[in-house]
Amino acid sequence: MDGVTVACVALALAIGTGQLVREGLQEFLYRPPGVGASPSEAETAPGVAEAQLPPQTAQLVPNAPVPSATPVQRDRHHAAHNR
Amino acid sequence: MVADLADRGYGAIGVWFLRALLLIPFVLMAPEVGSAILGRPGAVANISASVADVLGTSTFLIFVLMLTVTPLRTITGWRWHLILRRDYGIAMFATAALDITLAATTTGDTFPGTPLTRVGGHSFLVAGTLSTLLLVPLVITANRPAQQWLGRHWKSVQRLTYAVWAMILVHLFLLFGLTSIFLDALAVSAPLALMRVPPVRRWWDSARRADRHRALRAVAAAVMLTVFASGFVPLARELAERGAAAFVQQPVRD
Repeated sequence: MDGVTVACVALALAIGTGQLVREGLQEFLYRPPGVGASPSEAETAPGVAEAQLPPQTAQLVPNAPVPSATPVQRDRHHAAHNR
Repeated sequence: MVADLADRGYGAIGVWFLRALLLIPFVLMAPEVGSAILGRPGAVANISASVADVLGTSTFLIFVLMLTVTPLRTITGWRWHLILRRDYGIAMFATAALDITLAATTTGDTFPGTPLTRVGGHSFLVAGTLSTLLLVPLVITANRPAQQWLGRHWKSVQRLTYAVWAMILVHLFLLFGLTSIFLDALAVSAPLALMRVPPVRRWWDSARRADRHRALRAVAAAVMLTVFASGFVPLARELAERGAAAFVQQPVRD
């Protein structure tokens, strides 16, 4: 049974070592986005993240009308309704 | 008294109920695997998104429940549940084997490359694969003929369980760091490890047999149960949420 145990450990280590040699240490230690505690691509990509943000308040509110050069007399009651 | 009642009365019902729980991970994954076998579009991607959340978490929960058998015997004196240690060990291997098989064949979107890349291309994958492979000698020897053949050596083979335990914790640490699931795993492991410390186990066993230190044992058991539950409940909730999503083939994509 010791032989089976040694074979299993050797197999796992051989796979790991082979991948480590092929991909390099940095890739071997790297955790892809969305795996474990790594944030997903949607959370890290700036373009996607911005696209997911709600529109800014300024985008929702239309631009204020440019006041005309000559002031216009307005009905006080009507103006109060527009507030 | 309580132990006698448990052993004679509801023990058999409890054993079969607890055995039935072992089907849960396979039932949860069945729709996605069935869809993949039928060649439905998106089925492989669904398995890729679910496999670690459902089968990985299930494997750990089954392992934890297997480790609970011996401390439960020490604390309560029950014997009816002892047979579950072997059943849960075999079920853990089956779940982990399915996990690693599906991971090797379906997770190419996350881990591009060969099947070997998907089971050993990163440090956390090697730790998970090693813990699964270490289950092989444990499962091969989880029967009476092997026990008789190995004699006294059988116990030393079964001590590989502790190596599997350590490798699972390394796997979870490399995946999650000092957050969430790793901390839950530590919380679950702490009381189970404490009750395996020989002086603690011997003291508890002799105190229970002599019916001494009842209040102290009750408080200690309550504290350990609280710590255990603080880790076990979030893990079980995680499995329930992710498993339900996998079952309806709408897996949670991280």
